[in-house]
Amino acid sequence: MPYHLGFNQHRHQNHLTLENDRIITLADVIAGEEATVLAIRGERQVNSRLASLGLTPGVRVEMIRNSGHGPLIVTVRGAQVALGRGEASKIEVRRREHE
Amino acid sequence: MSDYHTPATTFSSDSLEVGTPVIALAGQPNMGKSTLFNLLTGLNQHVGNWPGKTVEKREGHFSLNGRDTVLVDLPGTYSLTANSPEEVIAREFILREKPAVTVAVVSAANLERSLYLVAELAALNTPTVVALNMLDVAEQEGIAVDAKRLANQLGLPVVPIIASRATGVRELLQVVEGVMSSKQVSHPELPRIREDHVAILADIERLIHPYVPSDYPLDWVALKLLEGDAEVTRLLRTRLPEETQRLVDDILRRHDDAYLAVASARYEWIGKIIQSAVSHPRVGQVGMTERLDRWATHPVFGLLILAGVLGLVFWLVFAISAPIQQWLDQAVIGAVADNFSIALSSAPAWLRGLLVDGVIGGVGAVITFLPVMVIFFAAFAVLEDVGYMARAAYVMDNFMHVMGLHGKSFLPLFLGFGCNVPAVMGTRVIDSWHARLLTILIAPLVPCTARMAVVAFLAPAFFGRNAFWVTWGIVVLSLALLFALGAILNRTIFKGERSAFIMEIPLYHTPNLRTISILVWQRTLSFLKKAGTSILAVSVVIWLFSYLPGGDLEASYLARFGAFIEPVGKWMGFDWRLLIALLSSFPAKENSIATLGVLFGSSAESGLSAILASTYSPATALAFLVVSVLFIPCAATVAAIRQETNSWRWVLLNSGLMLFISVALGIVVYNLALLVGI
Repeated sequence: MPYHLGFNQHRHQNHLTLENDRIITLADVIAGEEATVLAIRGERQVNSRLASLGLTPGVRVEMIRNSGHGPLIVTVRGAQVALGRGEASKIEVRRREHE
Repeated sequence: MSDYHTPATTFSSDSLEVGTPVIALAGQPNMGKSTLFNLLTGLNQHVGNWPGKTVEKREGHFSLNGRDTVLVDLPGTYSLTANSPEEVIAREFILREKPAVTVAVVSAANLERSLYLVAELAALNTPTVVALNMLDVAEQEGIAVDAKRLANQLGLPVVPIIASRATGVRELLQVVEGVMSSKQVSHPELPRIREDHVAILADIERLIHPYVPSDYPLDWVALKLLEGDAEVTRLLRTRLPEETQRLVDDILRRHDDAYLAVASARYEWIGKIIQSAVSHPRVGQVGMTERLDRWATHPVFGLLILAGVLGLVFWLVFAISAPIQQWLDQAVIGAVADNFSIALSSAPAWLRGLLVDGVIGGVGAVITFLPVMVIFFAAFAVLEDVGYMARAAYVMDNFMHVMGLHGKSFLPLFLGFGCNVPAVMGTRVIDSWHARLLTILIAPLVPCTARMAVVAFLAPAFFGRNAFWVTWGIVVLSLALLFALGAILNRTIFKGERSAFIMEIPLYHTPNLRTISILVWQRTLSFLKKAGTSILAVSVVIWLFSYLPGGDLEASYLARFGAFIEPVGKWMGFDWRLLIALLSSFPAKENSIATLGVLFGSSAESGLSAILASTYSPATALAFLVVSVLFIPCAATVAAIRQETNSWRWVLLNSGLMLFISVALGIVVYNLALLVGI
């Protein structure tokens, strides 16, 4: 269970969000990959809606659909959620290697 | 944002009699809440709006152990933070009306997410019973939930049910009854806030304690403040002394990410519960949803499937409804009108005209459209109930971005092909107000079945074998204009507005006949009420203008008005009769054919098309078709826009735009057609 991961760690792990000098967001995650959410940097109200759908720092997500443009679909806390690319690009993540 | 809530709102309604126990039904969307509601109340339910809101309120009666009980279906929401009017309504109802029991519907297939709302509900101190629904779907996806353990962990009664198969409902009612009669509120161990914010929460509570209204639990108010809840913040602003307010604001400013600490604490709490109550006996199994979605949400195949689904829906609608419609029109409406004419033969001519042409004509127009509506609503309801519509919204999202909208706006627009009235009402699924308003303004550009009926009658008369291409061209033109207008409005009136696309993709499940029938019944009823009243009223008024002053149509006020605007008509090749036909389409779009019938003294069944074809040039006919399809929306749609936007300003803007677009396009099409020699 991923719940204990995350929030306390993410403050110290901002360097991990950099890959090729660039911040990795959910929009960069390829279909089939898993990632851990580190921070959500959208507007307050949007963040609050994302949180109620389960997208909070520390949560593990799996990318279901991401065609490189347009909206994407992730599995979060056992449910599938479609997000606009704009929303996804405000969610900073760390890629999870397959254990 | 939001001024959709005034703290003084009351929820009392006629049906809440004193002494009748009230049970609230709460749950996130797609948890089967409506199925349970329909199961308990059947047709013994009433659909209206929550006072002062355009949010649907469903309320019904059922018998609980022989006692009449009111069941209130709270809006489906993911949380109880004031991000939308629905969330405010749900929590205010629980806090103010204090239902005897709140039944929280959760999905076994999606327990982690659905318990989030339970965590919020329990904080409101309402006696709560958890209905653990969709055990069948969970099993299908390879998930097993232990209801006993769940109950122990939650500290709340949990009853496993399968609402779609009516399983477990009796047990649920027994438990509800037990909680009601014991009057004991179970106090589950509630999630509050993550460890690192506990002190901050305590500080806030100490500051606001004396000023919190008695209906509101202190803990809850403090958490909502930290979550940045707009309504609670406003409520306290009216109550806190200046000094306290300053201190509170100070804390909130320093901890503006506290909402994450609150949400995380809830999910940590849920995580522990899930760990002991949920197991995945068949790990790695590919569920039905995943298999279907390999195609349905694919960027290419998804669109092809959507096109196929739409094609099938239209084919079904026309194949099934056309013969019924024809039969209604001739055998029922025609016969009634004839009988009335005979029965009223000794009555004054004006009375006969009013009843036969005004009233029966108006009512008839509504009735002949019923089969189309019912079949279309049914197809839509099935697609909705199985969970396909979320996929349709997803694959359409890219296209909708052209207009600054997103996928959810596609759903009401699709409904618009059936009828624009439910399309305007259907915009309620859109989260942001400006996106909703923009969708309402462009929705009348979706050619509805009534307008397609006019095209289907006139196109073959003028264009013979090319009628199909003319029809197709007109539909494409309408949709192209819809996108163009949407894009323009997005860059002008709604400049800078952008809304977030966040939408759950629910699991597929077999459609539930009861849910679908009730949905179709309610939508049809609401169409009949809305369309029936406005179409009838306008139909009578138009008849009056066509009758007065002398009883002769060609000398009537309507004809005089037609002559007055004839110069504009000339640019489109219209004479006064076509203009009158166009104006008469305001009560109901397909009226224009009947009006032409009256003007040419010939009915649609007896050679009207031949007379028209010999009277007007194809260029005129083409322009008339274009203008008819794009003209000011029908009276019922106008009334719906007025109701949903709560302002005449948007109604006028919409009608003005449609008038301008239709006339401009009519002139262009007419002159182009002349130019190329049609």
